Amino acid sequence: MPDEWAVQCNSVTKRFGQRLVLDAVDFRVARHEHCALVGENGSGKSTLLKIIAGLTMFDAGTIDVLDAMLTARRHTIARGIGLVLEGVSLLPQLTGLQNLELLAGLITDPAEAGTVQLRPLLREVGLDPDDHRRVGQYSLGMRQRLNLAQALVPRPQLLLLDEPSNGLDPAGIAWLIAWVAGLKDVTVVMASHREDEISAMCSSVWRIADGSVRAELQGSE
Amino acid sequence: MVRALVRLNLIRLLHSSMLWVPLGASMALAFLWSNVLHVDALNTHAPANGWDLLLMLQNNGKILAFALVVPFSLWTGDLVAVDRERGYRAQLCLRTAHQAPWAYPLALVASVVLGAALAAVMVALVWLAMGGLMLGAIGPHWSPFARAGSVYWPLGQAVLRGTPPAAAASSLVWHILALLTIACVGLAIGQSMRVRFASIIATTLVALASLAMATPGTPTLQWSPLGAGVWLLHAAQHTVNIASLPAGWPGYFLAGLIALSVAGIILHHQREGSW
Repeated sequence: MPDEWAVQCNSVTKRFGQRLVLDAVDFRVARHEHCALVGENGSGKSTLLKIIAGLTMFDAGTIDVLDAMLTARRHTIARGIGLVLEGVSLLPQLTGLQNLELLAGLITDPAEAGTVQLRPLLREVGLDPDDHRRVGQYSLGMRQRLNLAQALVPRPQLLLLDEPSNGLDPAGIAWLIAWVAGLKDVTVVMASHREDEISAMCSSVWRIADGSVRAELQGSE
Repeated sequence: MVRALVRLNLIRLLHSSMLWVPLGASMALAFLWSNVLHVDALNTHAPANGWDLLLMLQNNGKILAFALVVPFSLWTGDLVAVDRERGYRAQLCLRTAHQAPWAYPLALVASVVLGAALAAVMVALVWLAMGGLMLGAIGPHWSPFARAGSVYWPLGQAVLRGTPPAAAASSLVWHILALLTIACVGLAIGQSMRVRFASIIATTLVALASLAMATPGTPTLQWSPLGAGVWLLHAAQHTVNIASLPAGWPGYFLAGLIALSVAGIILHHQREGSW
């Protein structure tokens, strides 16, 4: 894969039973680009993110992600991915800092395990590292901020964000826009159905509908 | 990070099951144990002699064992899973995750073993206290280990005791349904509320099914034509009537399981702070 691409999907097809979710999708994201996938609920945005992350298998095609190549027959997970998926990564019994420590402890890949300072990271997303409340007592917005902080723990080159503004109030969304803008050295692919927020965060927008993906703004394809 | 997230979700799953698995294991053990020791010769008549009285006491000890095993297994589960107010649960989670991520499943297994072992000790102690003190005097015939292979299974019981085949088959079905009940409680370890509520519904249905399968003459059941509610009330009534208690214990057991499922779910969610 040429160095300029962080993600390159070639004719990726995915079916759930008889339902064709992705129909020979071609999709690419340049390194350090901030890109959005938009579409209706159930259009396949999250599925495409999970496929890129290596969490969901696909039926045909190939995907180049950073330094890894994913195929329908070979399951691979690329290094250097930070991931935010709804409701999958937090233990409600632990505090925010403990959740980050837990995840950091579970990262065993030397390329990802690193020297990220967790307390500053929590402050960066607007959370107090000395907050002793359990995550189960957090608001939805606080959990989403913690999810975003988790995604930065492995020092990612590629951030996959599924509905990153979920649970955030207007001030939180303003913060998110500024936060994403500050990730200049990171490729960001976010899935959202809130197109008004997307334009402020992303330089390119791709629309998923009826199994197809097409670029909507110049700068991608 | 993706691999770490997968591991994290495994931990989440195991973590939520910490309370339930020892409970389920202990209940299953108590169930099996009580069936090993089950004596269907008990009737509602007054004890005719010392032997009859001993059997009654043994069966009532069994009921008491159930009553004690439940809180005991809950405590055991918490001992390992552990009381988060003191931070042990978080510490265990963090420590194992940092040092050896795969130690967590081992901790889960340890909790099951510990819970089951402690429950077994508790059941044995209660049994001994309530009737088994004379075990040595009775002889090997009453050894639970000697009886386990032949008497536990209802058909074997029928062969040994000359129970009519229909009643034996009914008893066998009841045993299977009761084990399914325990399996339904096990389902309560599911992550989602949908699974948990489904497990309660399934438990209730199994209890009702076991009621429907009950026939007069079944060694461990009494038939009530007025339905489950009346039957369970009947069972509850029996629990305060020491002479007829054994006839009602299945209802007591099933009702207890349902109540425990509900209580456990409430407890679980309160602790997680999600309620």
